[in-house]
Formats: sequence, structure tokens, C-alpha cells
Amino acid sequence: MERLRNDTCSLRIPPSPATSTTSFQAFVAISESFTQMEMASSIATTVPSKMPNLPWEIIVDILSRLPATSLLRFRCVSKPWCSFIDSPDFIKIHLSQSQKTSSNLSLILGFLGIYSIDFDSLDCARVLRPPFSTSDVSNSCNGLVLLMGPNQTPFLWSPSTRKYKTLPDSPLKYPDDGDASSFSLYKRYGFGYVDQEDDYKVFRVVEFRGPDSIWVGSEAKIYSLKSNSWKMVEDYPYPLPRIKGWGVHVNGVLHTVLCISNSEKEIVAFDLRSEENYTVRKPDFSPVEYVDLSVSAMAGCLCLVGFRKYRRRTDIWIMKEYGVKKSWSKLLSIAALDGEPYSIVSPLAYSKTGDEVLLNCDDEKLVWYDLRRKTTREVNVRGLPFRFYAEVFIGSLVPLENGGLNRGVSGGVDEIEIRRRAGRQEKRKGKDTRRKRDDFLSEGFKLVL
Amino acid sequence: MASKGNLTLKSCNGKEFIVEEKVAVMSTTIKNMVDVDDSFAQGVIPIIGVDGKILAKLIEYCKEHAEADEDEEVKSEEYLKKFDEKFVDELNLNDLYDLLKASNYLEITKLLNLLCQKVASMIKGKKPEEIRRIFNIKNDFTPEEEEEINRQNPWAF
Repeated sequence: MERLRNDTCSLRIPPSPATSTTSFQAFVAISESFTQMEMASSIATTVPSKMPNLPWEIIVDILSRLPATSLLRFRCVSKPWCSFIDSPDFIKIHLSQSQKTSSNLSLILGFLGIYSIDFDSLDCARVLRPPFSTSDVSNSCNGLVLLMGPNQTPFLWSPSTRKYKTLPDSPLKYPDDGDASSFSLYKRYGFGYVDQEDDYKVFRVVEFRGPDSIWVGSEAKIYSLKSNSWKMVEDYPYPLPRIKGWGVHVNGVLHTVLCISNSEKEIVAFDLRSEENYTVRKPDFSPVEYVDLSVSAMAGCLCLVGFRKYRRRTDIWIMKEYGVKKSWSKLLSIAALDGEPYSIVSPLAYSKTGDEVLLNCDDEKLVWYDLRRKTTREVNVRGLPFRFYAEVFIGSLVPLENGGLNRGVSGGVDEIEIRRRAGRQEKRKGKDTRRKRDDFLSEGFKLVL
Repeated sequence: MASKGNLTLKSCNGKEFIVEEKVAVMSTTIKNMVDVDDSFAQGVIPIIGVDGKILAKLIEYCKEHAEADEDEEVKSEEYLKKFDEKFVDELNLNDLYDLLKASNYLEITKLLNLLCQKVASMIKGKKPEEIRRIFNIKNDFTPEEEEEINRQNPWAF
């Protein structure tokens, strides 16, 4: 934080009191600097609707509570604001503030086009326009979304900044020296963030099936945004999950449900950091009571959804502490809404108060479940497509250039960029606006591709 | 009544407030003073740079929250939420500004969060020029530079 303050000292905000003051001496020093600030502000009291000379850490605190769109708009307030808003440090502060307070949330829907619904109001589904025509959302993490573009080419997209990145091609290695004609292929992806490496990674599993549809083998690869390259995962042993893909992301680990040895279904995890797979121990229940299991992620926790016989009731558990079997607790149990059996129920998010859980029922309805009263109510969303996958999305400024957030020293890069752009502007003087826009657009494309 | 006794806080314009210690130590700055030097607990604690009106507001806030921390039955989370909403809604911008600085200086974290959230909701829909006016910031972009920056995300305007 100290460095951030220095970066922006040109804002002429007085040195602000450290928030971790512990001694009386420091208190006296603070009091003195505060008196100076107070003197400055006494002028302001005669001019209403102004807040000059706020300590910088307060400005940072306020900015970290704004939606991504407001921040993008406020980049042009001043050069220090622009470089600060663009800085990796601030982008992290903003993301973690949004996560902590569950703000800047929306739902992103796939299947019949891409839609977004503001989570606080849940009023209407707005059409989103990704750079390529697609309706296939894999999953979302920290404000970035993994989508499948034309020819099933995966790309990462930030709906907030509208930047995108197409993942490079990665050739397949067919089993038994076969070729494309010998197998039918199925691909699934999962996307997540590895905190320790500050890197975003995409996991791809390709399943090879022979002419008689028998599973022959699978190939797994990991893409790292930082290195912009794919890497093979050796000896990946599993076929693809039947229903959902690998898009259930919790703490840098992706999850799915698979039958791995006997007929019992297991929660299988793939750690994007260690590149190892393992099974997550399930809560205690009698497996015969459930005809199907699936996993979801909610509020940073892994959830297990169990469909009882005839699918007329669904139970949901949540693992409060990741990897700790004892921390599984039954979240809710929901009967079929109108007597019709459920095919799918996914928990999406807690309400702001924490009393309710938003569920996606059958990929057709959004339903609030009241945890205390154990009641349900359907949410009426204007323009909701009649069928959808839903993902919780957090609005952020996480960039897609050069991997995660480590973009070198904050501020400096942007200052240089601004000067460079100003220089280009000089050269372009005299040319018409249309031309300017074209130049800028093509530059934008160079930037992201 | 708290067994620890009361503290006297004195505003910059000489107003004295006798408050329960549990209320005063909602401020980490005051808590550290009292912890470090026992004489503060007996004498008068000067709150430099905070006038009587703002100090009264701070005490009003801290009193509600200290009581709620002690007895959740009497003051529920819902009660506090309503209190917080009313508290910030009744502030004019000058008071909001003074309270922001005072709660930062006195390290009353909960109140600081509440006030920052209030300012954020106030400014989120504003135009850049209004932001410059509110925070007294000089626009140091040339018109061309500003146009270029704005063109990078035209949908945000």
C-alpha cells in the first residue's frame, strides 16, 4: 500500500495516517497531520458537495467498492487515477473487496446465446455480445469467462473490460498411433486460478472412443495464461463425465463426478497447480438412496447435489472447509416444485443476507430457497431464455495480457503507454476521425490476439 | 453498566463527552492509547481535529455498535443494519466528509467501511468531471489523451 500511495503522490493528498498506528507518539504525529488536513477542509465546509484532500487510503477504499464499469469510466479523471485503476495491485484489491462483500455479482447464462443478469436485482436477462458468436459457456473465474468459439476453439473473455484471448491450438496425441479417422472425440474444459502462481489455467480433457463407442483413452492438457502454452498431463486415467464438464472450480482445483472403480460415483478433483487428480471424500450417506450425484461451487465452497430415487427430492451438501470431510454439512433438501422430477439442480449463490440460496432448477428456472423457512419461490426474470446454464460471475478488471495480475511495476507501464499513444496521436493529426478509429481498433486487436 | 468505567473525550472545540470505555475503544486509536498509558483512562483524551458535532455522531455510532456486540439479543443484526442505513442517509456531504476523515484517524473500521460504501454508491453513476469536482482533482490529460483513454472503453460512458 505504501508504494501505491507514493505512485500517486501527485494527487496532492497529504501524507495519510498509517492505519496500523499503535503508540502514543504515532498518535501525536497523526494528530498534527490531521490538524493540517482539517485546516484544509475548513475551507471546503463553505463549498458544499466537495470532498477535497481525502487521505489516499480512503480514496482507494472507495474505489475498491465501485463496479468495474464506473472504474473504467473514471480512468480519465487524471493520470494518477488511470495508472492506479490499471495497476495489478488495485485490480487485486478491487477483486478481493468484491469477493468479500459479494458485490459486483451477476449471473452469466449460456446455451441459447449469452446473457447476464444483475445478481442484486435479478430483474432482467441482458444479451451479452462476446467477440465471437457463441452460446457455449464453460465456466467463469475472477471476472474472466471461458467460452467456446467457432469450431469449438476455446477463448477467454472479460465481459467487464471486453478484452479476450483465443487459446492457441494444441495438437492431439491419438492413442495407439491412430489418427483422426479411427476415433470419435469428445472434449471438455475447466478453467480456474492458481493463487500461488498468480496464473489462470485451462484444463482440457479429450476422450477417444473407438468405432463401437468404447472408451479407448483420454488425453489431458493444461493451458497457462502466463506462458500462453499447453502442457501435457501424463497418464490421465479417466473418461469424461457423462453430464457436466470439468467447470466446477474451488481454490485452484477443478471437480466433477465420475464412476471410477466399482459402480459408485466419486467426486474427482484435478489440482491445477500440482497437476494431480484425486478423489474428494463425500459426506456420509447411504449411496443406495441416491440415483445420481453432481457437484457445484458456491461461495468458494464445493457443493454436492444428490438426487434421490425417482428424482422427486434433491439434497445439497456444502463442504465448509475444503478437503475436510467433517466439514460437509447438509445445506438443504428440496422437493420437486410441481411434482415433476428434477433432472438438474445447482446451487448458485447465497442471498446478501445469507438466509436464502439461489438455485438453478432443471436449467429452466431460478428459484430462491429460504434456509430458515425451508420454502421456495421462483424468480421472475424478464427475458430469461427458456433453457440455460448459469454461472456466477464477478465483475473485475482482471487483464488478459501476460497472464494473471503480475504485469510488472504498477503505474509505469501505463504512463509510457499514454505517452506513446499521445505521440501517435500527434502523427495522426490531420487525418479524419474514421481513420483514427480504424487505427485504434486494429491496435486493439493486435493487443489481444 | 461496564465494570471498567468511563472515559472522557474532548473535541477540538472544547466539548467534553463522558462515554463508557467499551464505546470509546471501538476506536482502535483510543484503545491503543488507553492500553499503552493508563493515565488516559483517568484524565481527558483530546480528540484533535474533530469538533463536537462530529464527535457526538461518532459516539452515537459507537454506542449502538458496542451495545450490539455485547448483547445480540437486544440489538440484532437486522436492527444494526437499519441503524447504519439511517445513520448514513441522514448525513450531508460535509458531515460525511468530516466523519470519513475522523473515523479513519480514530480507526473505527466498521464505520469507515460503512462511509466508504456510502460514498461509492453516491459516485458510481457520476461522470468523470463530477468526480474531479468532488475530490478536487486536476485533469492532467490533454484533450487528445483523454479522448484516447475514453475510446478504450466507450461503453462505460
